[in-house]
Amino acid sequence: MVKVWSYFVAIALVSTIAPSSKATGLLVARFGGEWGHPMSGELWSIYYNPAGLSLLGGTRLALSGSFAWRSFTYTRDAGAIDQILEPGQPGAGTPAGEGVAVNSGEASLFNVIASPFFAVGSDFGIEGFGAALGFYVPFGGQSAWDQTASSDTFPGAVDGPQRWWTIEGTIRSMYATGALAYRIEPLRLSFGLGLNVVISQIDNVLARAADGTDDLVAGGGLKEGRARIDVSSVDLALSAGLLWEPIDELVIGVSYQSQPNFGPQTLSGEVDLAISGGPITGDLKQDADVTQSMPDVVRFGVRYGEPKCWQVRAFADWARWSVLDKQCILNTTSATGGCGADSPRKIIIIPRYWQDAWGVRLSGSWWASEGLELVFGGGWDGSAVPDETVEPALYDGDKLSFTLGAKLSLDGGLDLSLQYTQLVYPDRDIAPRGRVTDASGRQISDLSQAGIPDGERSPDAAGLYQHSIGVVELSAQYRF
Amino acid sequence: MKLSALVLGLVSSASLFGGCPDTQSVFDDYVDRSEPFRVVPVTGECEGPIDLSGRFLLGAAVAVDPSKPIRFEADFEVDGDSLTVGIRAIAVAGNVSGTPDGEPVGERYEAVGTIDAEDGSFTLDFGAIVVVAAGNPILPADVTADLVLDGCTASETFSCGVLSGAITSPAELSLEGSSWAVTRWDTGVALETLTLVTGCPSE
Repeated sequence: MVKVWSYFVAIALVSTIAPSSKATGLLVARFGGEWGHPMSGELWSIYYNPAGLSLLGGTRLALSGSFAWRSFTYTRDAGAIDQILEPGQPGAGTPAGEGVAVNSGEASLFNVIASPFFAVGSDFGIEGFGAALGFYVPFGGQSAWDQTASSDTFPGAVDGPQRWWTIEGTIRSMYATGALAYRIEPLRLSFGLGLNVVISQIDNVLARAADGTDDLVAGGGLKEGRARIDVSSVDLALSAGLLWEPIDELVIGVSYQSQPNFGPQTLSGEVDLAISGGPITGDLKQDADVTQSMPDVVRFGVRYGEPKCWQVRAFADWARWSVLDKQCILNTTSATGGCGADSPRKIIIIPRYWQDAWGVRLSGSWWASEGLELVFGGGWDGSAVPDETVEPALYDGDKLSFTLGAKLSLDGGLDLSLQYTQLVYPDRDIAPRGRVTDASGRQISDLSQAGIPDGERSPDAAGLYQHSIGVVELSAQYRF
Repeated sequence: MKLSALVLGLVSSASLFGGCPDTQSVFDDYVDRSEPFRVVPVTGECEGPIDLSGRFLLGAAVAVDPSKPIRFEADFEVDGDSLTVGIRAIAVAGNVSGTPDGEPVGERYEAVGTIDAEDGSFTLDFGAIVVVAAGNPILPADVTADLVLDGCTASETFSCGVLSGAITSPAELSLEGSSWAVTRWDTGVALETLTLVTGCPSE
């Protein structure tokens, strides 16, 4: 027993958040690996389909750690720069030569990060009943970009050309869940409900100019500044699911995860702004709210097999990412106004205009022996981020994934599993928006092509995106 | 190697990986690193009280984006006996959709200050003002600011100095590093023929 707990304590040492990977958008839920799906009868079902808890058959404890490496290269197109200033040209913009060099070109990161899953559940001796508590991180991303060459002329250069969207930061939602399930044996139908406490956080620092351009200088002085956002919220969400076993070993599952806060969220905290070119005096912090919406998610799947011999699985998920139209950073001093370009509360509006996205997966298991299960799987996940608003901070693209793994069932009720998943992202090469001349006679990137209002201006993130992720999933389950 | 040791080694080593972002340090580092590049506007030579009374075009270069100056129509009234200076100013629109260029927009601001008898310097504290979007080329929104002008009566046709205070809405931003200047705007003279100046001339 002591040995068992030592395994769990060791895995529990690992924490932070998962890379922006797997599934769609920020939906990174892949705990349980190939065993994490809406037809599961294991503790992973606390998230994927709470109805699966009705199949626990006893008391279980599960710990999982996802250990991921992430490689990301963004090469910003010089054609994305708002205004290039030729030598001697006055006004605001990016000076030709060294200015263009520090405002375009290659940015890269290589991060190694981990994400936990913990759950405990029991039938309390009641056949067909299941209850569980769990903690995990289904939504999240974290990045820390490599520094580039510094400049004696442009103090922002060292933070890289991707700095207008992120230098380093975190966005994540952590879930603490309590769920119940029951199986109606005559119908072979299970239903389950879950209540989630969702802890969301955004902590990001980025380069910023007051007008949303990527100008380095203005009027002979510094225009590039910095903004730091640190906000969080605690919201509720619900989950529900059904599991049906029409014939032995054929299981069909469907589940629904609601949006956190059942709609738009408001995260509260503070923002630091250093976007003035004059001397910095006083406190740069101010209270701020950030409004955003995370999606609800529907999952469906089917599995069939022969116990301890073979099993095949097919499942899909659909996330309503179209609810994420923008992220609004708002002051808390104005009594009126919301997330609008003319709002007296507006500090920064980040356009997203994401699209609904879905993914499919095929997976199989084969038992080499009574206690050794080999697993393999492959899938495709679509991108939630359209070309018009793709940028390095919250990146997504269509992706393929391939998994190989194994589960070892030891005497005494301990299962240990190890899987490796490789995610393959095709390169995304985004063309510049093009430039237009504004009322003052200077050039700025053309937002109208993307249907983005001028009040939501952010620099053009055109360029080449090259992204790859590999994940080791290590988990342990114990049956008491 | 025992399985238990392998598992513990794998998971423990993971704690050495990655690292949490430290966004505050990154932000503070930039503030320090950019300090030598920050503009401190030139203050004018103040040589004594001069009667600045009359109508002027006032240009303000705000440190947030000095390449987009804000324009005001300003009336100065100097009382040489009491050594006071008063100003009434209104923002002037600049090529904004729906508003003709040069049209006064928004509210009229007023302030009164005393003139230093020796060098002619003065401070004009407007308190909280609102510059409407049509008169604000930097942001497409109304801006509220606590505004103070410091300058001196340099000549009958020109004055300049620094702006201080802070923008309070939609975001809180200091006006440190901002400057202003006025050039005389005689009756009948078209706005477009005037040269907009936004600060004191450098040495």
